[in-house]
Order: sequence, then C-alpha cells, then structure tokens
Amino acid sequence: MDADFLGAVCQSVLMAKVLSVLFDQHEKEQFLATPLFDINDKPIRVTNLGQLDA
Amino acid sequence: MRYRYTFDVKSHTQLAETLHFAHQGFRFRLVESGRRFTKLIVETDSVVIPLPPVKQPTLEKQPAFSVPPDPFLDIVREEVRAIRGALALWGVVDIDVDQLLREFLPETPEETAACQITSIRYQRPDREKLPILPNTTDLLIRCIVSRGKLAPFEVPLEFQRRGLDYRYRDQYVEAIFNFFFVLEYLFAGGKFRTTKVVENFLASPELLAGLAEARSTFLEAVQSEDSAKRFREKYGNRSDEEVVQAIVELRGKLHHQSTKRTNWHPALQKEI
Repeated sequence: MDADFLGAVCQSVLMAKVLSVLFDQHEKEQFLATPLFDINDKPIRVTNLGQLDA
Repeated sequence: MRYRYTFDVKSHTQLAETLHFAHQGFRFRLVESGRRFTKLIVETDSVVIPLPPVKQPTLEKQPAFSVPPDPFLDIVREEVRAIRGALALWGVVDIDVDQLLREFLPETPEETAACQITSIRYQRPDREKLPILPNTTDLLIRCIVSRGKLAPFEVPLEFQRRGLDYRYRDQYVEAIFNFFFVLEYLFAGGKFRTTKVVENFLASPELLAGLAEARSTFLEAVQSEDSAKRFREKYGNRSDEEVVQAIVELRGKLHHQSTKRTNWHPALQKEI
C-alpha cells in the first residue's frame, strides 16, 4: 500500500509537470507545425484540435 | 503423496550435466541447459496427508475444486531463498521463488482419486502484455517534439519509471526508494534531515496537490474494503502534515538494517 500510494503521488506530480510542458503554447505550436505521415507517406491531420489540451 | 517445486534459474553458472541428490527429506535436482544451471527442482519424500473429500460438481454451480494441503511450500521457498543468496556469489542471478511450478504427485489410487488438481503454475504477465492503456496519439508525438523541454525532468522521470517497474514486480522497497527520490529531487531542496525535508515538502503546493489527487485516485482504485480501511487510517483521513511525516519516516525506516531487528526482508517485500 505504501508503494502504491507513494507511486500515485509521484505520478500525479510528474504528470502535472510534464503536461505543463506539453500544453505550453510554444510547445503546442511546435507540435502543430510538425508534419505527420502514415506508413504510406500520406499526411495525417490532427482532427481534434479542440481537445488537444483536455 | 509427494510434492515437487520447480524454480526457474537465471545464471551464468556452469553446470556440466543435470544432477540430483537427496538431503534432509528433500530431493534436489539441478537442471542443465546449454551447460548452464537453469532450473532447480525440489521434491519431498512420500508423505501421507489427508486430502479433503471430492465435492461432486452440480449443474447450477461452477465445478468446485480444492488445492491439496501443502505443508512444504513456505519451507521450500524459505530454503530456496537462502540457497539463492549463497549461489549469487557464484553467478546465479535469480532463482524465481514467486513464479514457480507446484506439482502434487499422488502415489496411491485413493490419493489419485482425491487429488483434484495436479499442478499450479504461478506466472506474472510481462508488463508489455498488460491490457492497452487508453491514450491519445498526440501525447506520444508531443513528448518527442518537446523532448528538449522535458530534459530537466529526466532524473525524477527515470526514478518514477524504475519505481513503477519495481512496483509491478512486487519489489515494494525498491519501488518506495525510487518514488521517494522523485519527491526528494523535486521538493526537498537539497535537505536530508527529516524535519527539514518535511518542512520543504509541506511548503510545496505542487506536492500537496499531488497528495490530494493520489488520495482520491487511490480510493477509487482500491479493490477491497479492508484495503480501503487501512488506507484511510494511514493516509486517507490524516492531515497533510501527518502524511508527509509518515512518508519521510518510512524512507528512514527502510534505509536501516540490523542483526538485532530485521527491519524488512529483501525477499519478502509483500510484508511492506
């Protein structure tokens, strides 16, 4: 139980830190400006832009 | 009836050929594969142990079965742990005392009739074969795109990754060490004395938010009422000050050992 709880505390703290980086406006723009391709080299578009930071 | 226990061995210990011998009521077989020591099989002598009567399955209920009483399992595991510790000095990496094959070997027609199962294999699935976690693809890509900005968190993230892996393998003490290092790295401000660490932890709104979220998610995920009760008593219903104090004291307790009082047994971490 101690390990589970301590792990959950750390998970929460680190998740908050990592998401604050990923959801930073500059990083979000970097992501959106990065072209993505499927296995056949066809471009992939992000369709759920409104949910990116949900 | 005889009982047989087969343990997988990881080793770079040479064994020219499979061999066996008897000692103090047990037969030991050391199995060779590729000139390495790869399995340890421990078998008991013949013993007479009353077996419970067979219950006839009914159409309404799932067929019931019972595991034959086994007075040897704990003893054999304990002895194999001692063997493992000694053989580690000669290239044995691990003798897996948790994931083993137990076999029940009836020797009379009565035992055969009463023995409803003949073996049990204990196996923990590899983490990569666990059910898939729901996720969004963008997070995978964004972690890669933002790798430069994530670099300052590399150390605590690595401790967390190791802690999760230890936790999955039931190595709770190593898991706690790694998890504690996450918090110490991020929030202790370079202090190591208990009072100062507690003070710095409590001064961090991020850590207190993490405590609150963990309390909530833990209670949602907990399986049994008994576990929920123990959690509430130890962490759930306590103040932040008490919880932080308990966490820091736990770190202190786990860092010490003595011949006078074994604080914790490295191979019996489920007791933690």
